[in-house]
Amino acid sequence: MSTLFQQIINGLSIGSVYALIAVGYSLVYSILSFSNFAHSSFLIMGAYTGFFLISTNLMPPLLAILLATIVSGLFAIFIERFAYRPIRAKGGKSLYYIIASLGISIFFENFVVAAIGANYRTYPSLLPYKAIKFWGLRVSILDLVCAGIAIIFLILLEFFLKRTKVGMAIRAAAFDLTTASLMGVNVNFLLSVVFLIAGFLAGIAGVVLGIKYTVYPQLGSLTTKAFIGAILGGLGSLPGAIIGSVCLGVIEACTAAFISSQLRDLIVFLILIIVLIVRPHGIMGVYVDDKV
Amino acid sequence: MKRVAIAIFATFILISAASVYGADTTGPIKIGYLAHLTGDASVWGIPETNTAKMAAEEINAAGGILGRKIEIVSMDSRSNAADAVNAVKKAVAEQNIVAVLGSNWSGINIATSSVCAEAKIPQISSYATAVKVTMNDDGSVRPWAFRTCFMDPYQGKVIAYYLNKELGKKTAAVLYDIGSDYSTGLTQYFEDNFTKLGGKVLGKWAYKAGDVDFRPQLTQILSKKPEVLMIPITYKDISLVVRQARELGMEDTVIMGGDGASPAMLAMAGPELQGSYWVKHVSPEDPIVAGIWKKYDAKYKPSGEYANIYKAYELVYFIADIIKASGTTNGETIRKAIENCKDFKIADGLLTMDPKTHNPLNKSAVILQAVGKELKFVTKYAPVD
Amino acid sequence: MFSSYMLSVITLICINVVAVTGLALLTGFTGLFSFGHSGFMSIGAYAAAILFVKFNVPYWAVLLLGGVAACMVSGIMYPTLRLKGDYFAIAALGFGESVRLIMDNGGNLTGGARGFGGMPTLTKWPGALLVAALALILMRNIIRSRFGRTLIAIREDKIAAQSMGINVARNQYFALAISAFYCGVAGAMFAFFMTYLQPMMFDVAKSTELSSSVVFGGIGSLSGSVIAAVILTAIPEIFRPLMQWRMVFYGLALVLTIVIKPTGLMGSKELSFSFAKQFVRKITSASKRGSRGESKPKGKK
Repeated sequence: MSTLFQQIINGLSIGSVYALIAVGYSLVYSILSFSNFAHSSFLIMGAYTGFFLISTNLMPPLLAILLATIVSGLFAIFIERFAYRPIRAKGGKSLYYIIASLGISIFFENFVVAAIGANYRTYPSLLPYKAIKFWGLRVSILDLVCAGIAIIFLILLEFFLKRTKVGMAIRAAAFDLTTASLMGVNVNFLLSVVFLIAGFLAGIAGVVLGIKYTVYPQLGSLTTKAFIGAILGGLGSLPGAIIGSVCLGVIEACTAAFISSQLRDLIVFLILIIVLIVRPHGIMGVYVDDKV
Repeated sequence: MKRVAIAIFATFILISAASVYGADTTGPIKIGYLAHLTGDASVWGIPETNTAKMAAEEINAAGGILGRKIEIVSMDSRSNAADAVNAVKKAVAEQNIVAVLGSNWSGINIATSSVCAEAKIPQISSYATAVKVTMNDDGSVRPWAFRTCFMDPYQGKVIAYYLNKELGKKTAAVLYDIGSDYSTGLTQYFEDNFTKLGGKVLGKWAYKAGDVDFRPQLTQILSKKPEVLMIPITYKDISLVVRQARELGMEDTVIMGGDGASPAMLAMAGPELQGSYWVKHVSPEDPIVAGIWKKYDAKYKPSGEYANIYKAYELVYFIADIIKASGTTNGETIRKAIENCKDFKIADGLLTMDPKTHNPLNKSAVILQAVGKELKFVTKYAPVD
Repeated sequence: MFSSYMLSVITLICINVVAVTGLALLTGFTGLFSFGHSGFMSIGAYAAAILFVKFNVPYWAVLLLGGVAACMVSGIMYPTLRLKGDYFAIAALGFGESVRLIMDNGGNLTGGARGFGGMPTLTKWPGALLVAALALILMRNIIRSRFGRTLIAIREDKIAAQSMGINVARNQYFALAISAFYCGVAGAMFAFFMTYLQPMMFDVAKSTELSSSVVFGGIGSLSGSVIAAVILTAIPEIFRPLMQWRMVFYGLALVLTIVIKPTGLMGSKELSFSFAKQFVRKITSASKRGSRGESKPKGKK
């Protein structure tokens, strides 16, 4: 148990990245009530774009990263416009959204494999791989920076949602899309904004993941963990997504360390099932029943 | 059942379109090469296939064998046993290959061995190191499966003996991939041998392929303060593991692993990997190996996988010489020839096959160490009891 | 006439047809998408293999027992059915991965990552065709029964169905259990086709392949799913050289299908000769000026 605090730090580090991904995913879910499995594609887009821009050495790294997130955001808007909007126009069955997003993620991941190659790429060293030592614990500088970036983006998001007009419209739409449109909200524009934000978040998550764990086409598979985190915290709730993801990170770390590293994912799955039995709407989930 | 009938009809149309090729017994001798041309493992599969073709071209330029040219039929396993089985079946049915060379993954070879047995053609793996590739669980040998490299039991022994006897280490921790036959096998053989020598394995931690963060496991390992961290995993995971290990404060621990290592990992975690030891089948500094490697780099996109390049070259020449010596491409004849070969000349020395296990006798291992940007040769090593 | 290679592809197609048929009930007719059905195949495969190799249970019995085993394990997914479909899909993903992990950790029972072998090649094309045919006939009867109609009602409008007194979760669960059974049988057949099993053979890619076949074929069309399974198994063999791009087109095709024609290849119509006749009739009558406005009963045989 002497390693408990270190494991909690490890868990927080893993969980903070899950949180960044889960928030973007939860945002889309809260408005359209569907799981955007293509979120992983936005992430890969950000990771690779960031990598290529930084490798060209044409601009300061920070600018490259910013551009990468913008590219992801635009990519997300593109997907919404051409894949999801037609489905919405035809009735928007949840099953169709899931399948379309799945198709996009398969297409994109394999496109990257075929066109760019499956080999992993390493971001040039932007930060030292050193750790800060205190109280016998080690926190890597990379982790602190990544967590910092995550927190900044989440604060910006919070500000945007609570203090701007568009943000208010989004919150209204999350409550009830149809009524919001009756109130004069331009739904198409709104959805573009939501996806832009989701794309931003996924893009920055992609860059962060790329720096921490190298860039490769299957990087998007980490979004599955983020989805589970979002479910644990309550689908549709943004604070829930963050809390659920961070908790998931810590649970994973502690399970691997103290219970069984071989069976970690199985235990996490069982915990998920138990949570769904006991508290189906997650830690902070607000379940709004489908209305007729 | 109308629908099933229609479905089957559609199948016939589709598949008959696929097999328009007929049998061909007078043209070139076709040799199949099974490798991963897509996915992570393509870092080994592509050089192996290219080298095979390069070797074939050389042989043809020198006159071919038995008056015929040889042709390499490349089969993509897609790192997936079901696809590999289909690939081999297709090549057997449509191209009449006389042998299957490769792959370097045990699971793929075990799955395809029954296809080769049914088609009565020998299968020689490049670097598939699991025991089951050539032997069944009850100890009987698989008649048509062979290999010319050492196995995981041997590799585990090499690592254990080198660490304990040469480097004097007494405690070790292992981090392995629970979903990999290679990783789980090597872990077991290492542990058996290390404990036999009086060493102690302080613990074994696992992860799942696809995991990228190993710090929970590494934190626990560090708390036990082992002298050695043994990682029987492949290059991509090696880079991440070692980087994170160093970050967590692992400075004095010796790091050692098996032949899943690759120079590619130095590009990612070069500074962190300095001083680590790796087991390989051949040395990059061996003049014959280096010569073949240089030839390859001159002709194709340069690759760091010199061992696989060497092996593919050796295998093609080996099977060609066996066919020449047997005077025929008949499956049963060349199978017997391979099984009984004794002091047979291959690129890098002499090969003697053990007819009881279909494994080569007297294969030693090579220990490399990461120094600077390369894996440098330390010594040839054969554990002595 | 047919090379052993072609026959083995036909066998593989039959195995996939059995699995896809089961999944068609769940995804096509009940509207639940699953990312984890290869887990059920895995359970069926290993159960059948272990029973055969270690306990000498005969082949036809292990096929059924494999299905039963998968069916029993499907119970764990019940809690996810009370919630929206997304919960089920993601939980199914977790399920598939968990099954794989259990098989990896099976030690001497399952052989772990090093695999489990020793099965003779008992799944050959005549037997496989027979099983596939039986599977289809059984499924057709299920769909046409009252239970089948209940599922369609649930798919179309969950709330309306509930207000009619239908127990949504329970019916969804039966569909899941049946789909698990089918996948288990398919897995058992697969074990005796490959003669060697490794947990990694049943991964997310396999699950996705199965579930996507149902989408392509047409949500609500059994023959559509079968045709899609045939095509999706045969195409990779024909286009081997384009292997890498195969998955790219596959993903693209999925998106295009669902965006342009969400009901898939066959829509909710079934393939039948009367449909073909009707189609021809429609074309020829439309070519005459002013079609006569006859309304023939649509598709279902």
